Amino acid sequence: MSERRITNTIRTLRFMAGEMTQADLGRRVGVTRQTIAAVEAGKYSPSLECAFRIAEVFGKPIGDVFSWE
Amino acid sequence: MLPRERFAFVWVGAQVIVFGAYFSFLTLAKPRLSLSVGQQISLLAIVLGSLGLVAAGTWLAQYLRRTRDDAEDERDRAIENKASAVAYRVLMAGIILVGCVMPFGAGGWDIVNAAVLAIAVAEVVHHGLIIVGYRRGLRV
Repeated sequence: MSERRITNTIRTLRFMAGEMTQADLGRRVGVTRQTIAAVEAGKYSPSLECAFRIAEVFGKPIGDVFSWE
Repeated sequence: MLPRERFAFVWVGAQVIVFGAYFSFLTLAKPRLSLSVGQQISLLAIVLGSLGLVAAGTWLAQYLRRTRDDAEDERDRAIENKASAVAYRVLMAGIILVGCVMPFGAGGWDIVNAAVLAIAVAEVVHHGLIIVGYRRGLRV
């Protein structure tokens, strides 16, 4: 199994979006606040659909939000 | 803490208490021999406690389903699927042991109790993994 992992810039993007809350992002994406917190902390890798939705909320391409390092 | 995670904590704790008491009772009292009145009352209390646990668990699960903050999302489903898959394997291993190995060397009640133990262990593993999934994260 690869040691590489998925990282994200959601925290930064939330800050740049006027300190959007995790709950608000979760509501717009269709998941719970806890799931957004887990994704941000790298404890959960979201589905492709969820990842696209998160990127769509910030108006960014998915590659700007998630990366594989 | 999510209601679902809280429920898993309560469920694991209750099962450890009830089944721990039951199997401690079996080990210490040798119920195949004649039971004293006190032992019969203890056994009845354990059985009633188990039924109460099932009833309380069912009610709690329905209650949590009604609360808005417990709406299930993909992470909940992923954690549940992972925990169920592992618990199923644990249950299968236990039942294979009970059904295919124990009949060659054990009596009726030993087999029945071993089956109950296999179910209890699988349940504890299931809800234990749900807790681990929420606490430490889950990569799927």
